[in-house]
Amino acid sequence: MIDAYTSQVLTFIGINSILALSLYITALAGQLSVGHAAFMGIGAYTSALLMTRLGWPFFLTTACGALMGGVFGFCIGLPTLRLKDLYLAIATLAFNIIWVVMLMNIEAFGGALGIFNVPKVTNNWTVYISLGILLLFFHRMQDSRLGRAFRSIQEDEPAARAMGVNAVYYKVYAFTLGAFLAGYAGALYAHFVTFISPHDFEVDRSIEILLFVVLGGAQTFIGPVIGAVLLTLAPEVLRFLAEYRLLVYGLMFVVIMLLRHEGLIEEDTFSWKRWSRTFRREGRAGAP
Amino acid sequence: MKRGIILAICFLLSICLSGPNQGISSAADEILIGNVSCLTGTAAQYGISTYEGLEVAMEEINGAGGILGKKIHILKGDDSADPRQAVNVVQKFITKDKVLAIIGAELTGTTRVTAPISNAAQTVQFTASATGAGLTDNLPFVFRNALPEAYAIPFVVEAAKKKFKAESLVIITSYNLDYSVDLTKIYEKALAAAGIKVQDKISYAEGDIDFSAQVSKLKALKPEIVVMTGYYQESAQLMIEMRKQGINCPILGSNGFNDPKILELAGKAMEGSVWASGFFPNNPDPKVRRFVAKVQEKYKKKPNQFHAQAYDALMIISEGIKRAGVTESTPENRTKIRDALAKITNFPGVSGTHTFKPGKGDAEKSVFILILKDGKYALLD
Amino acid sequence: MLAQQLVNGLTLGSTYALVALGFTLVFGILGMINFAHGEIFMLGAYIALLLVTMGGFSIFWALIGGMVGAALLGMIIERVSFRPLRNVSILAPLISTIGLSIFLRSLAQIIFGAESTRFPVSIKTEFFQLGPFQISLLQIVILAISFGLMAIFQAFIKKTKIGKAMRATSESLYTAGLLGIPVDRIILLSFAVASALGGVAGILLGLNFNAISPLMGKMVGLKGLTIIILGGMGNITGAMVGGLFLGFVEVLSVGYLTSSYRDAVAFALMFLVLLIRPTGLFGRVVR
Repeated sequence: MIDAYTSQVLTFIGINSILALSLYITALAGQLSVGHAAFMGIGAYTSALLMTRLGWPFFLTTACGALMGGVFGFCIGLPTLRLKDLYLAIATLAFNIIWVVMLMNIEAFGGALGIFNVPKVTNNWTVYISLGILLLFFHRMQDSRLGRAFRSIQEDEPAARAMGVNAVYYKVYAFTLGAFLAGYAGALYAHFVTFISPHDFEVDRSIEILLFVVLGGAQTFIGPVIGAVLLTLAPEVLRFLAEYRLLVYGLMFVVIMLLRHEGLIEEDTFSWKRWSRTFRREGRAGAP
Repeated sequence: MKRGIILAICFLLSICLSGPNQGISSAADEILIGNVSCLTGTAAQYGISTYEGLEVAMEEINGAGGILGKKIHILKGDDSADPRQAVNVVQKFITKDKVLAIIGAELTGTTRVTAPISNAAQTVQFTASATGAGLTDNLPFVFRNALPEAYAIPFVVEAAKKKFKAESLVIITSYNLDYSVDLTKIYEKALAAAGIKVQDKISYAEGDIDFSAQVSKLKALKPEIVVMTGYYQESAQLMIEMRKQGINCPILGSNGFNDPKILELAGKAMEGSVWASGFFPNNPDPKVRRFVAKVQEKYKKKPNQFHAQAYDALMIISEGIKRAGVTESTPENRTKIRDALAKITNFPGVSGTHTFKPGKGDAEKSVFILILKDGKYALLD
Repeated sequence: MLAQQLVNGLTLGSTYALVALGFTLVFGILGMINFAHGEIFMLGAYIALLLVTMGGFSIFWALIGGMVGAALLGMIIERVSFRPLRNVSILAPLISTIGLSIFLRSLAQIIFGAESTRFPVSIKTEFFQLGPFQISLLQIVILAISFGLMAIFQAFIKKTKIGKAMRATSESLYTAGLLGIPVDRIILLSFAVASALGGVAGILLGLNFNAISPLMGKMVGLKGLTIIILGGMGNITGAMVGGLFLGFVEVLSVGYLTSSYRDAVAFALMFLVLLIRPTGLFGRVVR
């Protein structure tokens, strides 16, 4: 079987993939959130507290974690509907920072010390089955009414509204669902690392999740997952870089934006048609 | 399009080809010890000092022929003070590198998450710097020679009471630093036991650069003594600002004061500060003098508590390996090493005489109460 | 204590104001946020530090040098993160500069070490008592420089030809181009000026607190962001007033409430403003 180290890395890859998808779904409806770590943290803290203080079973605590994430997502998503692009990004960033500061000050939840001795219940089965279900959902969603509604809002919100798409409903839906998934991932995380503190859910983590999606691309739902896989493996593989790791990390953002801002995975990356075109060198002459 | 593909391929290639497994052991003739600590990030100074201390010990041991004929090799593992990374590093040490023992982690938080993992894998984990409460409780494979704050602080309070005859004081806490929050509670308990009142508590955040507001508030309180519970950076800043605004009362510190960087930053502002340390650099003991000279020569700086305790940690572990008489990393062997360590008493280290009592992973050793006099470290009499 | 806190707030606020000015200038002209502005602030301080410790220059020349260095850095950032991404999307420069800020911060950590470095102070610590206010010579110098720069900047923007060109460009890039304004050059210049201001703020802060660290730009940068939203993005007066306002609010909240919520204050205010009046208290320059 696989050794403990590989198993551990796989678990982190799985959890990060779920996180990446949670950001992806909010982005689908045209909303960029730089505060997803807060929702993750809400899920983590809820489930950790329920289990360590009240002794609730795993499936219940994880469900509650996800639910809490969703609730907060709704509470933030609704009032910020009017905000676009940059303003929304900054608002979610602010929420993240405020949330962390508040949490630090609540002694009942551990404050700066955090919560430890959370039973380690998460394993690869839980993570990958969840991920599988999610991927299936996204796959089915692409061509469904939901998916098309999202895309239309992302492309041109005023036009979508004019066509009768209830933008408010879909945007709040996307935001809440994204926060819900982030909360779920947070719960899985808490029950895996066995120790959580507010520092785990600061803005840096939100930016990390953002990078999954930026690197992988937000064109398809596979993109963020690939981004998560690559970026979770990177610190392990690039361990020899040690002090230079963050340097490379930051540079990556810049380089990706310059060279391929849509991210690695495009809509037709996995289609046979597109690759055969390159090899045949027919069709689009002088394709860049 | 093409650029994107090239980019993707480069990235994937770099992932596949790069990252030589730093931990490939020339297993046969080397003893691998993993060091998990924060070599990057804000607490990096502590982690770097620890590694340097280990290096000095390692060179000394290898220079004398190694342990049982084999040389020691220390594997670096940077966790950047992040529990997630610490967990990965330790897991890698255990599973991939098959280390014989682990030294670390550097900080309380990272030690808390990694200790159970090492313990479950029957690998000794020895921290030379984490001072949080209960880190070694119920974990037979986990040891430490860093002075738990809960142990050291009562001595500081006692000394302060005698020297400064204070009746009340103000505690400054770094509210978002687990070490500081924990320490504040410990101080409060010790103060209550000594009958000293806590006049007020003021807080700041790690990373703050502006302390003028806090210090002005402090000034209005007219404190007899100020207690600082954070790391050296912010503590130094606070000291400077305090003296600037004319607050000249004595300062009580903590383990965070044990890096000379604080003296470098605070300069004269630190004069008269009192704190507990596991190491007294100006100790006339020849063993300590030799150690200080070695560190001075190799790194061009005076050793601090972290250098000393790390040095001792490796020395103690070597002793344990020697006594167990095994060098191959198997669960039985590692358990033998653990058993040997647990029986060590009166081990003469540069940071004091170490004794492990049965059932306790924390080494008993002397506490040095230091005071900064005329810009130099001195023992408080 | 109140008097002293007001002085503290004024000093802190003037630093914030300078940083905010940098943000608002870039936003006013391009409609984009330079997330790495906080790092320019930090690097400006380090450049000055190097000039003083290694070059042996006086603090005056270190200030000039720091400003120039920061300006150059800003121009490089413009070419790397803004010009090529201008037409890609609104968020691309944001993401690129987020990456740059991480890069610059780690670069500084590698070169200078992760912890604070002492900032050599060459101004004597003398105190003056003006009634209930106790203010140090250092603080007076800092305030003088900050307000002086703000005044010069105001004059520059309002009275000079280049300043007018900048304002025209911020109104409409396209129209300004049609009118013959060398838009690309103006944008580059704006970045230079914005970054120079940020760099000075960093040096002044280092002077004030005797220490600088590679991480000092992170929070300050984020707070600068909150200030321009409070004051109105692209609005110069808003940035200055907002900066001072935040300085006071933060200091007073530490002095009279509990200091562990300090950082949340700025962001909570900003969040509220975003919800109620997204264009900020002073409104923003029309594009």
